[in-house]
Amino acid sequence: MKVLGVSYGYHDASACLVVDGRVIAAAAEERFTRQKHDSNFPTYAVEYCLKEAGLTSGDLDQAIFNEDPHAKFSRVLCSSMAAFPDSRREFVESMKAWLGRKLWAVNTISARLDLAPEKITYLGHHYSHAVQAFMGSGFDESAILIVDAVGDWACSALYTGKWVDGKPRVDRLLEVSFPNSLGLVYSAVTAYLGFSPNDSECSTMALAAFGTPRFAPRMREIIKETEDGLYEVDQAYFNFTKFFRGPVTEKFLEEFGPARSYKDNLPFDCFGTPAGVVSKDAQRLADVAASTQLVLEERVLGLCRKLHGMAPSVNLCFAGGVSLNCVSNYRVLKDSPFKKIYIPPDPGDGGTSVGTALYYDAAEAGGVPGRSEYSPYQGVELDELDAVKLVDFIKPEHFHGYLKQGVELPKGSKWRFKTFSDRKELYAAVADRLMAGQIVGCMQGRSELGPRALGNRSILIRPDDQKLATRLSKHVKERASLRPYAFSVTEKDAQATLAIDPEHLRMNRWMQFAVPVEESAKARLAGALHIDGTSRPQVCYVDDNPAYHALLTAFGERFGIGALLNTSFNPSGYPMVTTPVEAMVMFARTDMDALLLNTTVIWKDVEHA
Amino acid sequence: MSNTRKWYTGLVVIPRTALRTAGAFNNQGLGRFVPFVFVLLLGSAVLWIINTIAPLAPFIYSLF
Repeated sequence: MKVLGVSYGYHDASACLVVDGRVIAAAAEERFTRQKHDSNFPTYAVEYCLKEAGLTSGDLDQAIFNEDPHAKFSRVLCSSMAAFPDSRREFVESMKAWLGRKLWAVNTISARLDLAPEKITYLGHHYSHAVQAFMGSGFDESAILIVDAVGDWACSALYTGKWVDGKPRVDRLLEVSFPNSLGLVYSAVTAYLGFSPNDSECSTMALAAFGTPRFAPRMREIIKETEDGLYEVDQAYFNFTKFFRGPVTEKFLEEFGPARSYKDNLPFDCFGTPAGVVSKDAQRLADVAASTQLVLEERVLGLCRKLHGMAPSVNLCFAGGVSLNCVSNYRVLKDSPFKKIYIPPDPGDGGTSVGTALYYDAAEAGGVPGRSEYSPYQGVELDELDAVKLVDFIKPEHFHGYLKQGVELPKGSKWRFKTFSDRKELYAAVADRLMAGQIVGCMQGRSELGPRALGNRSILIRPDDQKLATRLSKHVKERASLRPYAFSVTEKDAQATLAIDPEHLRMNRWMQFAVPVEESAKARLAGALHIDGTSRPQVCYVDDNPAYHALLTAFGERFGIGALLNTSFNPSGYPMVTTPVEAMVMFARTDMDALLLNTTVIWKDVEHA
Repeated sequence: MSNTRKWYTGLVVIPRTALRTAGAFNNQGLGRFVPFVFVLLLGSAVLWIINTIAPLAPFIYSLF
C-alpha cells in the first residue's frame, strides 16, 4: 500500500511517503523553500517523496492529512466570537484565512496532487500526534501523552495505544480543551521575553537556567492544577483569542513587570556570566522564564500521573510541540511513573505526516509494531561531485560583500578540496582538523527529519573548547550566548559521559533530553554544557548512522572520548541546508574552516596567500 | 476506479465540505452556529465569484 502523509496550514509543513508499512521518504517543506517553519502546502516535499520512490501521485492508494479542518474551524470561529467585539480584528483575519483557504484542505490536496477526493482522508490533530507517537515507538502497547499549543479543540490529550490482531488501535482517554493550553502559555511567555514564538521557545528554556523560580507560586495559580489531576489556565493573563493585543494581558505585565523588546540585551552566558553585568530587569526576566519552565514541568508530570492512573503501562509515547522541551522531557524520564519513553524524531506538527501515513497503512493493510519504527534520516541526499567543481572558480574575495558581521578573510586565500575514496582516511583527515580546533560543516547522507541536527547536517567542533564555541556562536551561528550547545557521543563512551541510568541511554539517540553530565567528563565537554551542567546528548549507535559514528570514533581515537559538539548546519533564521551549494555558501560567508560534503573535504587555505 | 481528480471535483467537494463543517459544529454541541456558518460561507462564495470575474471587482468594491 502506498500512502502519502501531508501536514500543512499552521507551521512546519511536511510530507511523508510510506510504502508497505515502511517510510520511504519524509521531509519538511522548509528545507526546499528556505523559509523557516514554512506552512504552505508541501509541494516540493511531496515531489521529493514521490521521486524517491519512483512514483507519481496517480500511483498513491491514499493521501492523509493531519488535521480535521471542519472541527478546527468550529474552534476558531467560536473562540474568536467568544471574545467579540474585542476580537473583531482577529475574527476578520481568521475568517479570511479559513473561508478563503484552510477550510478547503481536502479540495486543495486533491487539486495539488491531482488525486480523487475519495483518496484523501484526515485525522484530528491530536489523534495525528497520538498515532505519530505510537507508530514509531515499536511498543506493543503504551500510554500516549500529547501536549501541544492547540489542535482542533484539544490542547493536551491522553490516549492508549496497542496492537490488536495485527492492527494498531489508538483510543482517546480524555483531553484538555482550548483555551487551557500549556503550549500557548509557553509561547506567550516566549514572546513576552522578547523571543520569537513558535520558534525560539528553546531560548526561554535556556534562559530559565539562569533564573530562580521566585514567581512559581503565582504561576502555579495561573496554571492551576485541578482536582481531577489536570490543569486550567487563567485567561485573565493571556490573549489567546485576541492575539493582535500582544501575547499577554496588562494584568500579566502588572504582576511580572514589563515585557522585553527583542533589541534589549540579555547578557547571560552559558559558559559563565561575568559578575555585575546582569541588571535587575534581566534577572527578573530569567526568573519569569525559570518559573514558567518549572510550572510547565509540574503540569506535564501531573498529566503523566493522571495518564498512568488511567493506563498503567511502563511505556509512554510523548509528542506534540511541548515534547520538544528537553528539560521537561528529562523530568518525565526521571520523575514520572513510566519506565520507557519514546519521543518521535520530529514530535511537532512536521512529524505528523509520518505517523498518520504509517497508521493508515497499518490500519488498512495490517502490520507489526517493529516494522513501523523509522530513523530520522529520511530527507534529501545529494551528490556533491558536481558542486565541488565550483571550488576552482571561487575566490574568497567574491564573498567579501556578503560576509557575516565580524568575519574577516585574509586576502589571497584560496579554497581547496580533496575527494577521498577511502572512508577511513576521510574521517581521519576530518578528525585531525577538529582536533586542531577547526569549525567543520558536515553534510553527508540523507537529511534529518525534524529540528535536530544528528550528524548529517551539522556543524562540528571539539567539545572541550569554550573559546571555539564562542567563536562558533559569534561568527558562524549568530547565536545568543545564553543558548547552550549539544554534543554527540558514541554509545561506547556515553555511559562514562552521562550521569543517567544505563537503561536510558538508547532513549537519548535524538537529542530529546537535557541530562546531567558526569563530573569526570565536564572538562572535556565544557563547550557543550549549559550553566547548570546539563547537555542535550545524541547517543550515536553504529546502526543509526554508520558514517557519523565512524567520524566520532576517529575523533575519539585522538581526543579520548568519541564526542563532538554538534549544532545544526543553518544560518541564523534559516532552516538547515539541503544542497551542497547551500552548504558552500554558508561556508563562504562565515568563519567556518572546513566543510565535509559526503566524501569531499573543502577547506580555506590561508597559507596559500 | 481512477485515482485522478475529475473536472467537476470542486463542485462536489465544496458542498461536501460545507456539510461536514455543519456536522462538526453539531458534534461539538454548537448546532446553533450552523446558520451563521452558512451565512459566512455564502458571503465567501459571493466574494470568490467577484474576485474570479476580475473585471467586476472594481465596480463592486467601489460601492463600499
